[in-house]
Amino acid sequence: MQYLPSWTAAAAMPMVWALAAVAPASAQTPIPPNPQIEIGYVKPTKNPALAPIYEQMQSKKVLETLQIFLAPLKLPAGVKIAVKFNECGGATTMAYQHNGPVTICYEYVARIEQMVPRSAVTLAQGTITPDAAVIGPVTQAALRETALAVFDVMELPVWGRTDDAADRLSAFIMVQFGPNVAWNTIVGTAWFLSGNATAPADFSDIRGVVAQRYYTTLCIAYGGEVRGVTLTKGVTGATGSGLGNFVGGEAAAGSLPLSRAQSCPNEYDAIKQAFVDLFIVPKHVDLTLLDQVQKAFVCSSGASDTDPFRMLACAPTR
Amino acid sequence: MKRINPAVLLALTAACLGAVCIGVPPAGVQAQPQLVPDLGQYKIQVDYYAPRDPALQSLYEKLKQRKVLEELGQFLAPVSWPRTLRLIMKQCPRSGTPTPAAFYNYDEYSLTVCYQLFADLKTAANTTQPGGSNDSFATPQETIVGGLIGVVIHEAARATFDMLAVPVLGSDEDAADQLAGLIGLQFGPDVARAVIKGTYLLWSTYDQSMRSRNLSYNFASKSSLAPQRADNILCIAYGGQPAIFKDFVDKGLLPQSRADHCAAEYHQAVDAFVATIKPHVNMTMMNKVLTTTWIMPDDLK
Repeated sequence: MQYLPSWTAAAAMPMVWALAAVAPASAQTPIPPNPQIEIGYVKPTKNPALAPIYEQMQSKKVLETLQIFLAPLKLPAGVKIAVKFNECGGATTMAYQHNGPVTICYEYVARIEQMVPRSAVTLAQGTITPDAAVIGPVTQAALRETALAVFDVMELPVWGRTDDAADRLSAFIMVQFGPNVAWNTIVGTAWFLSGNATAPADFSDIRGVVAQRYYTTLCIAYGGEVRGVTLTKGVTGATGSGLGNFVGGEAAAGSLPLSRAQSCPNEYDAIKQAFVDLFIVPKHVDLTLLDQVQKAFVCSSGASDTDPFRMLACAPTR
Repeated sequence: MKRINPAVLLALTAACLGAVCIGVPPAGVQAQPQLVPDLGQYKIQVDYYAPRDPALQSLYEKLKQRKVLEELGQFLAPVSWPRTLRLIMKQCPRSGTPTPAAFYNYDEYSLTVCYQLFADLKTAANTTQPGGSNDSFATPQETIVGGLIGVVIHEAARATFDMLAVPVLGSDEDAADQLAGLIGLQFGPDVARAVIKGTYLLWSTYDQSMRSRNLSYNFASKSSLAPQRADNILCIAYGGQPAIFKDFVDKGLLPQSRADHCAAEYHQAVDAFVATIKPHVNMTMMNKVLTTTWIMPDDLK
């Protein structure tokens, strides 16, 4: 399969890898990368079509971003998580195994690239930009796959399906960084998932089917917008993001039915409480660093055009 | 294999519930000693609502006479409930989606079993009659008894998560299915098989109902779909006791691709139980519950 055309289109969009071009906001104290997150980019050797993706991931420092994003996370002493990009022999995912590593497949990114619209698309619920269509699912994949490793190495009690738990935790985290980040990451993820939702469902699979992941992601995000509560006081979370546009409007494709939407604030409460109980209370999160990371993603008028976080936080949304 | 006429299954259910399934003997049989003489001391209340539908009146009277909820309360007493848990039986409004007629109410801290649930159990049990689609899988008794216990444990699990403020990272419905399967397996082999089989058949029956009516799966639902829940319960069972439940895989009910992960899924649930729920359970009492003869051997033949 030749991935280059779609990738070339994406590479022409300088904002796409805003999340990847990492550095904390210039006016703030530099955020140290998490030393317990080890990263790597494995050069693809079997499928040359993946080489451009490998180079882009590396040059845009996607995993270095993740190291900073996860700076507040404190794993048990002596424990490290290895996160790497690698080719997966044509598969888009590689199941996490005990003690890792976390693998994000180049093929997955290629799949994302294939679904990026060439220009902004106006949906009934709002606008999805090409930037968001890439940033969202790449961010979600990095968080989701890393979450699986975190569950494992921290020996956390996981009730429910592990993959579903990782999806919920990822969505929860993505709505902690202001309305613009919430919209771009969530809607971008939803765009990607919706494009894959027509695949035949395997009900015996340990994971939920794609359509269920789509609705759950939207549900947690909508619940976050309704609640308007974040983990620290300095950031507004998803309030005002416009994610509520996905609720009701049964005629609009992809809407969250009211029957599900009614439970979303409670579902958000549940994952938030679990995060507090399992991470905050046991002091597995440095709240000072968390506050710094959160504020780094807020769109501020003083940020320069080259500020990497500005691209994500200030990107046009709905 | 001993079979029972479908026409008497509903009545059997009521009798079975009180008499043998949950420990209350029929009239004339010496009662088993109660683990907890006063449920109120353990913050458990019971209530039976008279149904409006005359067809349910007989069932209501039998269940109440047999003190089914009181026996269920015995089972739940080992948990240190922070608030009063209300156990209710009543006639419920029907929803359009086939789903067990039992629920946990977060506002009331109540666990409700609807009288209509027994009709669903009967439908599932009918498939195990000679010539039925599940003829060789289970007996009608296993289906009714096991299905009922499975449903009740599921809702009790939701109450547990809520009232004990257990951190749940995944879907609470999936979590409750896991906990219900885990608890079900802690009984003796006969009861464990009944709970697993009955629960599986209930979900399988709901799935068949959906398909026969050409209803679309609701992927937006907060709950997993009927076929997923059917497989989930088989997986927990096989993961926890592969020797006993190996036939699920051999018969193709549980695909090998899923079965390979079931031991890990089971141990995930065990680890979560130990970390989050066990500290709230009086294990001495619970061990008595688990070793009580809830189902007489003859009742599962």
